[in-house]
Amino acid sequence: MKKIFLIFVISSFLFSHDFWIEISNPFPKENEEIKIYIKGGHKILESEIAPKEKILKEFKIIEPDGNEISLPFKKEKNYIYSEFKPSKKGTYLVYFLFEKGGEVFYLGKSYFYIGEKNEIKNLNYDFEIFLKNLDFKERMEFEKGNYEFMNEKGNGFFKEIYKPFKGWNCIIKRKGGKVCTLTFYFP
Amino acid sequence: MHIDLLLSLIIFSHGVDFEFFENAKGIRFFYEDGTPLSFAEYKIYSPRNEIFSEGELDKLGRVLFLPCEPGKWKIEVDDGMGHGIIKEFEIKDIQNIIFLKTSYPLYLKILTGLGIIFGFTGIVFYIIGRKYAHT
Repeated sequence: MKKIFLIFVISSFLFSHDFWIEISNPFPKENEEIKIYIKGGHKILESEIAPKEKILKEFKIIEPDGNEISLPFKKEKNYIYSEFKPSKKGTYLVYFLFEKGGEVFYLGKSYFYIGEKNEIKNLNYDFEIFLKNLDFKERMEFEKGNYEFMNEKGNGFFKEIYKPFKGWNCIIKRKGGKVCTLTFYFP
Repeated sequence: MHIDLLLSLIIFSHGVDFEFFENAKGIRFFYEDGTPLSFAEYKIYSPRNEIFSEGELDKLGRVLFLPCEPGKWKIEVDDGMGHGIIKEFEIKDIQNIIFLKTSYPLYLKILTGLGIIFGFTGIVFYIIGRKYAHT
């Protein structure tokens, strides 16, 4: 009976396509070119879908000094990517927004830094996963809610405490039909 | 000032009028969990495989569909995020359009799949059991 229940749970989980950011080198050096991807699908390491350009409202980087840069991108069959050379020390926020009917309904974001981490930025959407700092720990605390996660070990659910897996991690928050994905790399 | 406004009204309405009509059929598209495919792109193809109508569904995932000739009509919907559907409708009488939904709900599809898997496994075990019963 437990197995049958599991099949139903997995089925419902698989019907949603999620979109997230991946960074070719999340710990770059100054002026090192990195690739920033928007990937989508059901599970990591296997991007299945590139979002349509029509719904992609913004694909941007906010540099440590607050300077915003729109990323020119190329579209492949299963993902979108952009190339970027970070030249300033500090923390960078990378994000994309999907919009339909004049309403933003999907936000994907990630952070990387060069040298010292400095104050991080949030975009202040009500469905956003809000981060206070970049101190990724063995146990990370989020605001109370229903979250999903994906990492290289698999996927699942949590309420407010998340134990990051070494490497790539993706947290997903759904609120009122809107979605936020946060990706980060746990050293 | 008053004349200007009147003139604009006349110019803007020149050659364009409208009328209301009734009895249009609507189709609503939604995800498996019931969420509407808000503002998803759609294309409706006529029986001659020409685009008859295209645009975006409304916020509730709906579009009005009023075919003008009998035959096999097709509608394609794409939400831009990897979800989509292609459906064909056979229209016999444009004066009396009847839509019949032939697809089954998700839980029936899952139950059918499980039934096939269990049925097939049962046959395999039956054959294996018979083989061992003889030896």
